[in-house]
Amino acid sequence: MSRYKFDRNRKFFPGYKFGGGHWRSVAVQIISKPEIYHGAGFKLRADERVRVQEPLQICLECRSKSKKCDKQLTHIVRVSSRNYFVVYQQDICHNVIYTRHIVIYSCIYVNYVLHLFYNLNLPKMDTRFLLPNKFKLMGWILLVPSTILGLIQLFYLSGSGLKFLDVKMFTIYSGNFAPWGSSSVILGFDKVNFTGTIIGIFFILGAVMVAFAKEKHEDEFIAKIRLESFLWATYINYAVLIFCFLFFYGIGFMYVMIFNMFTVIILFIARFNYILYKTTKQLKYEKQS
Amino acid sequence: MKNSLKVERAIKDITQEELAKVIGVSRQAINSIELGKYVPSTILALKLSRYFGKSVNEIFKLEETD
Repeated sequence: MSRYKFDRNRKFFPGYKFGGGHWRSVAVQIISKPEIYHGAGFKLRADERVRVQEPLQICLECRSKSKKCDKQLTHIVRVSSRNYFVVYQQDICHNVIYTRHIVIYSCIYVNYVLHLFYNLNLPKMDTRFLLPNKFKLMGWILLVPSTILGLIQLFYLSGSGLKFLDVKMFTIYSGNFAPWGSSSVILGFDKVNFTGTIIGIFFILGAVMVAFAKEKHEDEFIAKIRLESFLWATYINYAVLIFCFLFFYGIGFMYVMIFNMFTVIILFIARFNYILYKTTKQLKYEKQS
Repeated sequence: MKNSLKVERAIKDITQEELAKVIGVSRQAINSIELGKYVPSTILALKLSRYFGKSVNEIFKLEETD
């Protein structure tokens, strides 16, 4: 542990003078020298009593100026080193320094978020919020037909529905593409088609049942796979969505939006069941040997 | 983390499935622990140690990379 003391009168950032004695002294332990980006300073381990300068508070999620110790402060953080002072004293154009700060603090933020992810201590999943195992079969019975019907409706009937499902229905907002156009209905009754609604509701109910029904032997290992699959599905979904944002426009993007309503849960179901299948397959090999 | 679950199981002459049933977890969990793909919770580790009549340290060992 070495004590890192900031000079009272020196400005730490251009245009920003920080006051208040208790922000200044920082007990730090140098772990490694900067290696990723220049001027980002040393990697430091802060002890519980450490107070960090304001911009770093953002990535520490601590805003209070109280003297209470913050749990978050025990994380490893990048604390800027003296390089800042050097840069500042050399009187380089302020804009350059600001840009550097933006870059560096973005890096610090990303670094901190990644750090949190690596140390993600997921609590044991409470199985109270899962549905009973019976729902799984029911879910599949709902999910499969509604998927097929949904695809048929979307591609063969091009979004239009069956005639006998035309009903007058209370709507919060109903209208065509131009928002608040003359034909739109707000908080009133409008003639709508129920085909898509029914298929959509069945699909969601089915998918939720399949996804959140307990396995026959629900335990901590399954819970772990479940959580991992969720993270994975969300990542993949949004990665695909970014791709679609870039390469689909107009009516094509509308189709992307329609599909994207359902993809997270589908990806989750696919990945979760795949991992389960893989581990069960390993089990069979184990038996043979 | 290394573990000697497979050895302990062989000593007791019990299959993965039977062990899973006794401990009250899925077969996949036992299998994944043996393959070193899953690190069990403290509760599960203690249950296993109780069943085998050995301390947790004897069944699960830290590796240098941990």
